[in-house]
Amino acid sequence: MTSGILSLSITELGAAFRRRDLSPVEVVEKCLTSIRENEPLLHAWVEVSADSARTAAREAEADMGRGVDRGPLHGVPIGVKDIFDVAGLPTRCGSPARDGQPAARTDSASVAALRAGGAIVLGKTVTQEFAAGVISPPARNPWDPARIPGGSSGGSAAALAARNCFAAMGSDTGGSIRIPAAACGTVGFKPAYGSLSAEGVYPLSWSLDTVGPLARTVEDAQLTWSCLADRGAPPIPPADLTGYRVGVAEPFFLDNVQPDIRAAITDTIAVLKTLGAEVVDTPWADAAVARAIGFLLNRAETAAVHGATAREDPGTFARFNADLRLRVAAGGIMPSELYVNSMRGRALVRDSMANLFREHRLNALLAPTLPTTAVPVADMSITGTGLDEGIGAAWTRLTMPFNTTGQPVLAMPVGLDSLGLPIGAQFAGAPGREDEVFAIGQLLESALGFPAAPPMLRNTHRAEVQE
Amino acid sequence: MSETANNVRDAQFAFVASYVRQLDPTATDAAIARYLREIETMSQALQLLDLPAGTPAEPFTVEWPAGDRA
Repeated sequence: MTSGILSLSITELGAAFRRRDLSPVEVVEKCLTSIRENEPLLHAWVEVSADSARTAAREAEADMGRGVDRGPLHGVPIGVKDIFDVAGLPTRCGSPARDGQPAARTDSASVAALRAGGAIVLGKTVTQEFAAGVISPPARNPWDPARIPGGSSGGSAAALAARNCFAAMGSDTGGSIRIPAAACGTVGFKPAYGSLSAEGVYPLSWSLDTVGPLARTVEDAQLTWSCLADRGAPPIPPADLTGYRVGVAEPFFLDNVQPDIRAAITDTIAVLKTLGAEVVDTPWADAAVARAIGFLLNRAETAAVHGATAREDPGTFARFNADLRLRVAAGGIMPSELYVNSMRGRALVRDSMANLFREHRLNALLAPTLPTTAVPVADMSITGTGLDEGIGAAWTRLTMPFNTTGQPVLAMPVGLDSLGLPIGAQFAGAPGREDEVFAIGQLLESALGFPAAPPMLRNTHRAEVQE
Repeated sequence: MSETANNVRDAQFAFVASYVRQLDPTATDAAIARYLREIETMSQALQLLDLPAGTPAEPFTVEWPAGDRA
């Protein structure tokens, strides 16, 4: 098993801090070294605040020396997607249109909560421009730097997989936490819509935007989410999944996915059964509608976010990428009938998901996160699934339905494909019953032996990593 | 597709292309057509939903309803 300081879980790191075996100062230095080594290949970071991270680490060390314990994230280095305000740093949103943006004067609500819990902000991670897309240039995938990390929280996932940090913040409007988590072999948690404050986060689509953590283990994601939601210590997971019921919604979620992904989901189902869970077929007739509603709301609201810039500040608008310019310009005159009917239908779709859970007494619904594993940077069309789709449409196909329902979703790695690239699954849960998806995820992760390390890490961190 | 539907689609493309190019003169016909195809596909999917005439556009909340409705 791979170990080493940078591969410790947050729980293990905290235990080492409390035993005085490690100090936050030492760990921050290791993170900064790791970033320096990986950045030429991965481009996961927009800006690293080495000095302020070192200062925060010394303060955490002094706190710990005085017996002050701020909780599980005390002294833990994190990354923050560059659409979140971090005091002292500009929020560039991955856009040349934001060049020259002054530094934010205050932290976003999420960053403030994490800092109050003792987390140390290393810097800002790369996002797709204004969080609108799944590619996140120029960031690359640590499992194969010729491939995309997914997006829009691609820098956060790449940084985590490369062991640059221990948790990172992302946002999820159509899958932007879960998609890069799947592509980079990390965990991601999309909380229930509206359950965490998005204050100080640049919007993409107000009625869908959700902020949440990415981490390397399910427990780490749960600890980070608990800090963000001020939930206190998470419950101890059950010994097994006896009494748990997991639904699989076929057709739709297993249609038009790569064979390796379907096989990994089949294997996951088998493991869930060995853990004691009952796995049941739960077709959901509204899946395609749910996807369409999320897509249409997103298109209309993104146009509303940037419409004034498009009309009144053409010089700034010209600096948006071409896809985003089209999305904003054409979205501004999308038929209002589509937006209104999407709003009208959304509650019905949410209720049909609630019915599905009630009728089948489900704790979670299992689905692949992505229809493919990470694709090469140049592949902007997905053709290996039986459909001919643009990557944006393909990679949000299985995630967007749960943005429409608004329910909490845990995404986690469940295997590798024939090329050795991570395969992700997602467990959609019931609002207010988040602990159930975390319990399923923790036991499954234990049984599967994840998290695995990307090959580049095994090579470049040989001195750090012990077998 | 009926002649009316074809005419509506052509008119929509002409209108959207004209409007878009006011804001982004570099937008290509191919990109605009691709965008409209995606919207059309999603619009068709939305029509699969049985949306009773009396259903209002409510402010969305994530909470699941209790009782018969859920």
